[in-house]
Amino acid sequence: MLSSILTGKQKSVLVCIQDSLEQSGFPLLKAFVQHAVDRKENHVHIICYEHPTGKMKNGLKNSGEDHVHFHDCFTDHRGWIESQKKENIKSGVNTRGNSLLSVLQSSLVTSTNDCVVIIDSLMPLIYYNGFTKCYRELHSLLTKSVNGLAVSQVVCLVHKDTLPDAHAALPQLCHLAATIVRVGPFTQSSRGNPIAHIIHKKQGGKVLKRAEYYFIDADNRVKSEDLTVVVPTTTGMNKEMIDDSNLPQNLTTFKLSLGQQEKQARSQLVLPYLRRVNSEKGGEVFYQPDAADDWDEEDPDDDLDI
Amino acid sequence: MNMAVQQTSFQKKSKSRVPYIPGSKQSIQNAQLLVSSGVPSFDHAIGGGIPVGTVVLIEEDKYGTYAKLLLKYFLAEGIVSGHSLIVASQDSDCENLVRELPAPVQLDDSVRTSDSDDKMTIAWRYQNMRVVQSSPTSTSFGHNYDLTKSLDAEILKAADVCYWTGCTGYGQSESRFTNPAYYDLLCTIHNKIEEGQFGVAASPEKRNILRTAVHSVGSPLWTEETHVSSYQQKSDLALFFYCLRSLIRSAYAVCVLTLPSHLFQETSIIKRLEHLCDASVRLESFAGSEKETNPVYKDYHGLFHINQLPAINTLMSHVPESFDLAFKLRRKRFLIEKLHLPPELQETTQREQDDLPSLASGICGVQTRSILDF
Repeated sequence: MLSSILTGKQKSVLVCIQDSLEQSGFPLLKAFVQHAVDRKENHVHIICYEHPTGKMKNGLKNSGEDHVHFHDCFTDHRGWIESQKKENIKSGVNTRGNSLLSVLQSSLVTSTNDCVVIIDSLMPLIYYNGFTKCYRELHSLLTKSVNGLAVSQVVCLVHKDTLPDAHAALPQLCHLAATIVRVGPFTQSSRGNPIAHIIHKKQGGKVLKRAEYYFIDADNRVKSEDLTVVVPTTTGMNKEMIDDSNLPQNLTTFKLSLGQQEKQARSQLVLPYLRRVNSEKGGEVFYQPDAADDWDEEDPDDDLDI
Repeated sequence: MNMAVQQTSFQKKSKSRVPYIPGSKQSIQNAQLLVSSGVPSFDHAIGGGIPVGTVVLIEEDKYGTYAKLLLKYFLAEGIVSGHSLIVASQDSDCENLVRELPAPVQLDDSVRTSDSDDKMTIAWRYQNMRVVQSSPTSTSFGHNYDLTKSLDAEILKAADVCYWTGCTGYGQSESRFTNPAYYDLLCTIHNKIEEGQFGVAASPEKRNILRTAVHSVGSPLWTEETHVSSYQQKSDLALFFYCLRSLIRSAYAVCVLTLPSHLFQETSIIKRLEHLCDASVRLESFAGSEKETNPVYKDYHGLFHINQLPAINTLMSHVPESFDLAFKLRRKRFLIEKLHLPPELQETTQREQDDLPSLASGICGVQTRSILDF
């Protein structure tokens, strides 16, 4: 599931990776970058808000190719260094990197193909612009073409433990995203690997839910496998009991089932509550007196005038 | 002479007060003018159809797919009946929504006649019981739609459709809304009613009905980036519903809104909105929930909850046979049915669905058994 989203086999417009301090989602995001770069179908825009571009480039194969574009919003965040210069103070605050659209518009790359946008963290944007504005921007990024760039996929990272108003904002983000990957630390059943809870909404309206553990190798390739959690369920216990001990067939030496002939004989037996369709008119009494029967020859009712 | 007087006192109602408008019919119960929602079983569930002049609220399922589908059926029915439309959404592309509208299809009901050849031998008394009709079969009112075919482009071109995808720039100086989007949409609907002479007081040459569909009202895209508290924003939404209702009530118009209520934190707001509508239903899809695998629900795609039914010009609203409703989606029809439990075929004492819930009951069961064993 995870790998099919990474490779693009499962189309997803907006992938939202949610991580926490316990388990970083950055390696997984990097894997997304690597897969997008290797596909070579679209231009890849990587917007770095939280880390220097060097950290993203480090260990990334083919990162120097033409279709890969890095946008550095980390050094000189919101242009505070620039704004110290005298000429900039007059012209107001430089708002470089303030919005996703302006970052993409500033890059003079035009192509006929759609592009993939990868945002290393949405958090600085949410802190400064507010969640609603950020939400709108993501939505408009996906629906409108920016400067001749149509966006086919956005992959973004969100630290869910630091999100302001998380109880309201997280469901909204999940509402917008086509795929939500919730990254969590390892458990016993994942063999020391981090776990990803994936909710993927297909185009047709089907929703897939998976829990997988994944492993990222040195080439930023992801191997993932279904997480099988051993939970003792009551249904399982009941089924077992029924199968083994509770069935009377296994307990007795009597023959409890019916054979074909016996079944046929049973079906021919006329039971009192069955409806008899072709019965003759009037009733008949069949009585055969046996030896011990005290048969009264006289009519006991002969004194009555019937 | 006397006879003549009696005859004049009894007058046959020759001319109906209610004007004839294509795609509408009069209710049998209360003579209310009804239009179809585009889903015959939906009409059946809410009492024959949507009364003209009412606002219907559909609370979206978690992933919004089925609510959007109902909205599409509603719009497609409008186009097929030749009504005027307003389509409003900030979340999805309205023109795309209209382009994807499904095409009407004629269903052959002949397949549904079941053969009653297999005679019951033991429970023969049940043979003459009437077959339980969980969904209406006659489709004289409204149409069924084939989801795989989209409506003909020529028909769409001829239809009167008005789109609203965000603020169009109505002056908002004197408005009482903090959020301009709601005010703007109200103005758009108001103008459309004026222009198209849909008002009750207006007397156009040919009466028509205005169908307004608002998709995902109150979603995060509707909120403004102001410093107003979220509660203020939500009460803006309630004010919008209030004004909308009065607007629709005084016109030959119906309005269907879908609301992503699962994104709302305050349930009081949702209740308030339900109150402010004439009819309110909620869809609960099984997609992605535990109920998807529950054997009770295996024949259905979700549950259909009725919160409120329209009661206009009458004291009593329509009371459906059952409130336990479920829906399923077929390629050629969207069906809302009475929820039936599947037949119990296993010979276990416990039913399958009873096994599912909690671990605690299982432990309890084990304990009681040990007492019995002793």
